Amino acid sequence: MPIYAQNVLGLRCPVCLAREIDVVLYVDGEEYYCIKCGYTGTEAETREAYKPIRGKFKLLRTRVKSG
Amino acid sequence: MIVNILHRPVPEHYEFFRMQQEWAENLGLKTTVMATYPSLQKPEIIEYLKDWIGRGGELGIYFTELRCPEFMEKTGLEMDAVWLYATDEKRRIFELVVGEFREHFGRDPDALAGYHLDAVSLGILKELCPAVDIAVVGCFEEGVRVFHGCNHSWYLFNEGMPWNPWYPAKDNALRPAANEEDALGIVAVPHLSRDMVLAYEGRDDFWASHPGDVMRGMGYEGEECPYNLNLVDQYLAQEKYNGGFSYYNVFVGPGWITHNMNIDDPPEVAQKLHREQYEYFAELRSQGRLTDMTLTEFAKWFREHRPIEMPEVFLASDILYGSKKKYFWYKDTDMRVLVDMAQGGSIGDLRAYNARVAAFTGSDSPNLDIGIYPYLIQSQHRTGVANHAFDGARTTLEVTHGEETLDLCACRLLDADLAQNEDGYHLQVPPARLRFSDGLEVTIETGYDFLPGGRVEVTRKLAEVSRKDARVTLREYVKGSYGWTEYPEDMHGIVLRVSGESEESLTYDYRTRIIRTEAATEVAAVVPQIETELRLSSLDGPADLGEAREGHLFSPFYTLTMEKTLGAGESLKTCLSMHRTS
Ligand SMILES: [Zn+2]
Repeated sequence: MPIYAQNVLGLRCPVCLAREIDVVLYVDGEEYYCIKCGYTGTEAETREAYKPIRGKFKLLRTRVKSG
Repeated sequence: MIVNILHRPVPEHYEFFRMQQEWAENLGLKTTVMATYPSLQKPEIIEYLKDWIGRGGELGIYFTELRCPEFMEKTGLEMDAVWLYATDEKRRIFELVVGEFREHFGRDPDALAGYHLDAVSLGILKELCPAVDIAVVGCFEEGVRVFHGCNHSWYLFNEGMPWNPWYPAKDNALRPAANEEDALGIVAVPHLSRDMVLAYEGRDDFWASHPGDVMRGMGYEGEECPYNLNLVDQYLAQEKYNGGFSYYNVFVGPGWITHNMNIDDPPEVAQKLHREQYEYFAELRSQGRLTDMTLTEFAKWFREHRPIEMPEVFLASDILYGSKKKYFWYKDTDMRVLVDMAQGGSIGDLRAYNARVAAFTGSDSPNLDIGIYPYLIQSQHRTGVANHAFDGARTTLEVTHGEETLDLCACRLLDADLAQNEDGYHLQVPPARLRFSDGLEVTIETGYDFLPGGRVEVTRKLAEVSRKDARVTLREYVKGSYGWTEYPEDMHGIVLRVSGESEESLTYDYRTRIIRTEAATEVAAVVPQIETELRLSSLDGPADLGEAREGHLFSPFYTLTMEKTLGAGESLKTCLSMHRTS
């Protein structure tokens, strides 16, 4: 079993994710941290940091007509 | 549109496999079940599968998820990625799995699947199960981006393959066979239908007919994901350009509708979005717009309706960012071409299938893990239009007036007009307007004709010039390379040549040399590493000047150009063609 499965909730690093890289965060007490970059944050901060990732998708809520 | 739904049982997520099956069954959608080796070790799952085939269900084998104690004990192997084993190991694995399958069910599998089944794997499997006529063979444009995105730990390199079902060649499963004799004797389908914009610009495993992937890419919000349905519609729209044919498949492992480390929301959301996709299929079917088939039904249909040589196209629009970008994809037995409208209608990806580059994957292959069909142009991995330093692999039109040269790639065009005639497909790019610093304005109209034999005819019409008597120089510009990944390969030995009033050639040595001829008829690059020649020929008489340029180590490319000085209403016509050298 991968080591991170013991101590994480299934949150990915928002900084790495913005670069299209999946990195599951580790947690140390209340603080989540990224192994691959300098990101740290609480769960709430991390979820907040996902907003701009979705924000770049201007058609996120739109049913698009094709053809 | 034809839809294939595939499900695979895996012991640790068995209840979620059953959930997927139940959703489809409740909607009356046909599925094909692909047994995994670990699932064949579980009596409960075998019972279900026996009942499934007893009810007329279709049952195949999925060869990617292999690992379980029984597999490791019997083979001494631990890798799931079946395409990466040596030939003898592949044979051992296939004999083991097919053998146990036969013991349990008393018959051969109906279909085969893996993330990738390379030519060697398919060859062995056809020998073991000659009646099988369909397999899931590869992941469209999976490679460099996914390798990065998965922390450089996902060794699946399938770029350069067809996006839709094809007849794989004997010596390279990801290359469409040239003819019956060249064909391996099986119908290949891709693993998932991918977003034809975002699988080129980004990760194919974020943007696909896989609701879990889309969640991984954050292409949903709360419990809503219009993107999943928009992608279905995008594929549906391709019927218009392909004689009524359009294909979509879904093959999602049950691990994506339970707790998954790449999904940041509860499983119930993943389940809802996955189910909604199936509900949409059922809705489209009730409108008569969708036909659900099993894999073997599809293989039969495909052989009856889609001859080997039939070209295929995809006009892709961005359905997520709202960029209005459009890409046009063309594929036949000789080539795969991508035209990028947002760069003035330039070629962003080019593969010469008619060079018939052979490849298989595995530890005994010279290619090792690289199943990719090599490119001549890949503008995403290999620079494309200049950003930092020099430009890279791409095509464009340069327009010169006085001392000033403008590049058509800077014209953001947002539409494309596609027509099919008896010769092939014609793509008309909207007019591009260029303005020089002295106020002269010109309009260029670009047309592409995609023809059999690996030929693309490019017409650049100087449709309008703001000063009646002004003449400008149009230069068709092709900057090529060759390679498989984002890193440059050794260019030594590539031969550049020009033909026209004079004949000249040079052998690539990174010395920035230029050869040119007036009254040019042809300029070419012969790339022995992939047995491919890329040729730019002048049509409608010789061009004023033809040139071939060598690059250097900070710009490891070759450039082929053909130019003519023209007035309003005149055209520069060239043919970009690909050939096998040996
Ligand atoms: Zn990070």
